[in-house]
Amino acid sequence: MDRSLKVILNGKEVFGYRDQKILELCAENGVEIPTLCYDPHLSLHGGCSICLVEVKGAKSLVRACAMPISDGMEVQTNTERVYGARQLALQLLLSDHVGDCRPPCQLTCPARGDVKGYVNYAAEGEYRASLDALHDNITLPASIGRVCPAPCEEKCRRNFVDEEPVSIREIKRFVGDWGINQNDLGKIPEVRENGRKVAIIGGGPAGVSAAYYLRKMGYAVTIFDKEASLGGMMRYGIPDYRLPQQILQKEIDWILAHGIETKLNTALGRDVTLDELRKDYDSVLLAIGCWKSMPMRVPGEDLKGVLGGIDYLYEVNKGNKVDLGKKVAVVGGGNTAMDACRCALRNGAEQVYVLYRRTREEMPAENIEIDEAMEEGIEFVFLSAPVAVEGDGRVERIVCEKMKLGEPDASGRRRPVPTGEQFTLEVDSVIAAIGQGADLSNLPKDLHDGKRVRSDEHFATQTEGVFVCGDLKTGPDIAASAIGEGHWAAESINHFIMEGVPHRPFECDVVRDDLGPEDFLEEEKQPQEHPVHCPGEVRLSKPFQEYNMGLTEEQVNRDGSRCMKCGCADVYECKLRQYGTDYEALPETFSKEEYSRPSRTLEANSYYLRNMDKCIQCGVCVRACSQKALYSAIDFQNRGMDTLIGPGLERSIDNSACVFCGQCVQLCPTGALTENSVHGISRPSYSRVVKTTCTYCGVGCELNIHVDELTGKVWNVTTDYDSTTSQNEGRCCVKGRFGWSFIHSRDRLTKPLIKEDGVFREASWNEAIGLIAKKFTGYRDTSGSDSVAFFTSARCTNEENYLLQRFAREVMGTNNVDHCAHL
Amino acid sequence: MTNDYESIKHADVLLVIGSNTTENHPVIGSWIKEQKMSGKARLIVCDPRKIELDGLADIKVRQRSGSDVALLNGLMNIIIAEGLYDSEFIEKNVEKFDDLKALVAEYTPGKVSAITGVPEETLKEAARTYAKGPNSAIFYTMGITQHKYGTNNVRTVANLALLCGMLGRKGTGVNPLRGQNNVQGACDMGCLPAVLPGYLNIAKKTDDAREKVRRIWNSDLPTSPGKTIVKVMEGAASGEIKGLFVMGENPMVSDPNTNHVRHALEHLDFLVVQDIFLTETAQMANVVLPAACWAEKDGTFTNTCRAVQRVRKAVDAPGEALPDWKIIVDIAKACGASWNFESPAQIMEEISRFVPQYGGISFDRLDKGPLMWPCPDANHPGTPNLYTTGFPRGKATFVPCEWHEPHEWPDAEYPFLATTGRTLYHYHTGTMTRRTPSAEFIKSLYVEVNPDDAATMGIGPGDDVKVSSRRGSVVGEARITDKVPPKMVFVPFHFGEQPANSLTASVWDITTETPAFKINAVKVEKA
Repeated sequence: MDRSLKVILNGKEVFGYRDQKILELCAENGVEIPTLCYDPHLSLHGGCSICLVEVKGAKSLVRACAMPISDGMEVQTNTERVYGARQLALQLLLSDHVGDCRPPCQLTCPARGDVKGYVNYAAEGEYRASLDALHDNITLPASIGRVCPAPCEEKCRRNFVDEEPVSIREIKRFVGDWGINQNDLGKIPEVRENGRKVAIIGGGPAGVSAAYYLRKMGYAVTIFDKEASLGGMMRYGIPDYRLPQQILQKEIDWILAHGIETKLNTALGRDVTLDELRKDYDSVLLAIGCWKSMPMRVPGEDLKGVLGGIDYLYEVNKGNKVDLGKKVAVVGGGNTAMDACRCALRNGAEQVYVLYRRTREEMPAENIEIDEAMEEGIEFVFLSAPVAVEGDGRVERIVCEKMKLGEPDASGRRRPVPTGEQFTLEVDSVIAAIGQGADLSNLPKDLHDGKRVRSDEHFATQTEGVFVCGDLKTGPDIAASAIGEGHWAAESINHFIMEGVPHRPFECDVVRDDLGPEDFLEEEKQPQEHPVHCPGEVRLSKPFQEYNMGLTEEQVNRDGSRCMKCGCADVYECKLRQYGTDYEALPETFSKEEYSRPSRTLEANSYYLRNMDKCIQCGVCVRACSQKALYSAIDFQNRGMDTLIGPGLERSIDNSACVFCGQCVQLCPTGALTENSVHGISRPSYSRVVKTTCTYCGVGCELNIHVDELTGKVWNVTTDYDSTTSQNEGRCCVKGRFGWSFIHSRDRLTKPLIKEDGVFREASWNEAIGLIAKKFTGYRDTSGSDSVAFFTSARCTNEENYLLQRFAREVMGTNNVDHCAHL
Repeated sequence: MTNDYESIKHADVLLVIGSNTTENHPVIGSWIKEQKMSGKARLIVCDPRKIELDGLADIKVRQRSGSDVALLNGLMNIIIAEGLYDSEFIEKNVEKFDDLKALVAEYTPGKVSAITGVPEETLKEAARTYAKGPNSAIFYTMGITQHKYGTNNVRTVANLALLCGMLGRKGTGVNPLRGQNNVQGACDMGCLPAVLPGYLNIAKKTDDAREKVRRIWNSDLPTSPGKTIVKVMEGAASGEIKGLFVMGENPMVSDPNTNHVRHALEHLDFLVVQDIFLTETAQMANVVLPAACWAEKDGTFTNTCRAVQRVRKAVDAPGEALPDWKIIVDIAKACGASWNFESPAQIMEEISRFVPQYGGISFDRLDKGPLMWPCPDANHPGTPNLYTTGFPRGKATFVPCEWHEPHEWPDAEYPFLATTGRTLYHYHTGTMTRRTPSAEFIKSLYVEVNPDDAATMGIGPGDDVKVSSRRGSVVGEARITDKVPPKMVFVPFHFGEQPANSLTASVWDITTETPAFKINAVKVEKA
């Protein structure tokens, strides 16, 4: 080809040929242009408008896929104007893209745990895969699986069917425990060191998670912690009966085994200063949590016998004796209050009150914690606020005011309003579990405002290279949140060190929140599985031993299978979401009401799903069908905002010309067309592609088998239009593309079988082969070589066919060898 | 196929006979359609059924089942009469033209029209179009071969191509489309009673065969004639065959006359079946061996255009299942053989020494892409199109064939003609595809019935119909479609519980012993 046209591409001189499109020239020169509707194997469409580039002299931006180059043309592909125009185009496309990218459970999880992935792997008994998928986002699954309040379960759409969610937390715990019981939490990969160092202050869930993800990216990481053991609030704030310390320790040990250094008994301010760390490390992450109990601000608070909730739990978890006396009042309604009151009971208190200003309904503690506390004999005194603690040198009583509920406050809960009526409880100790704050005393003043460390959305403080995450940044939150914070802070630190600016990963998610029970009427009901309940008196008889034994394996398999696999099947492959992420497009920029086409088809056939809510009308499917499959089963129907792609005439795909070769599905850049067998569980990043030849007809199409490396199982079969070794040029039929699930059928033969008295029994290979050898050599030697015969197979390989005929001729001495060539 | 797939893009005329290409070889079907729809080629479709390609055809030749030899002789009659044949090509390349001329002279358009039911004008148009090319390619498959006189059908197809010189160039060729992934390879590997790997004929070239077997296998060559599948089944029934080893086949469903097959297998002393599922045949075995499936092993398949391609292991086999080659090696060793094969690559190394056409084929080369045999040495690029420089034996020979009436023909008692075959959605005996999404799309046996017949018999869409032959009967759901002409039904053979082969006869082509699946006299009634 005559490459005589000179083009200045991003300031560099390159040469192209006449009629060559800008996009093609860019591709040849390694300049990536985003596009959703262009495919080099199909005719030009030019509909998606995100391939815009700047051409010198042109008034507006031009489409790189459609504009041919000319001599002397100057093209810019990466200006701010281009970026902005592409972002705008993507936002417009996203406004007409209705559905879920990721399922609500995952979006609710502050750590973005891949719930659909690990739950479904567990349901299939693929615990190793499940655990690997968990570790991608949730560093301490066995521990989190015990203590997480599981906001994911609240959003689980199984609630719409059964009024009960999938047991996400218990499944997570089971899988974490499975790894611990195997004594193998996962393969520790060899880290490719990048020569950079990060110091992390605080070894709680946030710090440990940040350390794990940074280490996997190649950083030398050191965790500094003031305590003798890591775990932070998970170790020192949660009693053993809920989270045994050895479980947490095993999970932390596995993380440290990735090559993370620790400096224990080392406190910031006392043993090491931030300035020193900034000098020695490329970056410092502060994750020291919220360890200061909030005061009740009532007279008598400084009497002996008044403790902070978290201070009390710290002593308990350290194994230190705390003398509470016989009667204890715990003030507060959160999980810390529940842990404190139950520990008090276990520490020998005879009468434990919980004082809470609102009612049971408004308590922030988890229901199970409240129920169990009540079962254990804790007395709840609702609608009561402490007014004073009284006593002579030591607590003797607490004076409370009766409250009533008023108007809802900012949190949506009804506000407690004083009634003026007071009452008094005789107690020996008061535990104030009404909240925690950060201890900022050891931090430079310019980092904080007295309450919180000041930071931006990328976890960066005002001091360059110093980052903050976890409770220290957010205030007290659940452990899963700390884990997520640690993860995203690690990403931001990586971006800072590598690119010079902090940046947390952008999440582009189209979200669907308008579903209700009426959308799931066809779903079969199946109740949730629960762990065996352990009665209160049994629990108290072994006070600090774990009593929830979790779900059994069968329960996990059953409950996991209740997952409806919400979220988009194409989530890991969707080009729209990828570009939306790259260009930080916000799907909500344009309102769906205005920019989205109404009532579109959702149609499942035996092979694939057509979800036209996600169709962006790029027309790739229409062109694939007419130009590659040669069927034209689908086309653009209607016009303008009513435009839809389909078979037309209100036909379903089943009654159209479609032959289900799946080429449209394969090329669809979004989740508008997805294989029924794909659920957005197996990830391309954990996938390997094996090129092979189809097992069906004699055409011999080259196929790409996609293997999930977490399970070792096939999760999809596609073709490759760009293959240089393919006979079929990327084309295929329904059998090659969709006819592979027999591979993992439960009916597969897995052991040799020998028939005895008309019934098969399993046998060893040795026995089966010995019997065959004896029989066949016997016939050969007594009845002659031609008393045996061999049918080889047109479905087996050349090598196998060759060997079997050689066996027949050489070893058995017969030409009785044939195969069904004629069928 | 004499030609490769790329050759289709060079054809001016595509003649499809006895091949429902878009259902059975969909990707080849797409190229044929593309060539036709882009206006680059004219399409002639010869098929009793109104198959999909018929709708696109420029010339639609809906000949009666079993009349193919007459049809093709008739086309040649017209081509010779009108002087449209390639005399230069024949002169140079083909013998016995006079014999052909003499025979086809009898097949006048009038006579052929009467036999085939095709109007004379259509015959003439088809003949002229094919002959004028300039490059005309023929595609055929089981509609040609699965007849009592299937060999004659094939020979007559070849006669037509030779007559018009439609071989040896891109865009031409005689292109049989193989039904299964590795039929070509299994034949190449000598899995036929009469030949060793590479088609070395044991009876005709005994000395060469003996020498090769001694040199490569270090053993004696058995020279007693081997039995075909058909003869083995007869031998099993009579007690002559005592032990049968079946690798990856399911004759209980795939072979004609199911009842006869069952009877034969029951009479065996010892049956071994090596498969991936407990098939209908495996259930009758004394020993069943679990095999790895295609995605679980390495090896090669040879496709319908002679391209040898790699099969690669993607996943582990379940439980203790092993690749077939490994099992055979273990059995051979247990029988005293001193075999030492440890990988398919090593076996291919021996194949390349044994089979001249595979002489230059190795796994290393195949990793860079397919190789089409003949590929005699390591530097040979393979042979996409055959006969570009003439025929290996010097000259080809016309083998003129007379048309014979089929073995069975509709009569008063069995007034319908049933033809069996495949559908797009299922494969062979369904052991694989009936465990995939296609099992849901097409669950069970259906029977294609012409709308006129359906109306006469009061059969509505979805009604169960019973199709019975002299051998047996099946019940399936009626699909009312003018794909089949009146008095014909189509019965797919994928469904073991309603086996189409309970209808078919133990009648075979006399040369190849290919079963005559395409013609069965049946009666059809509402079930």
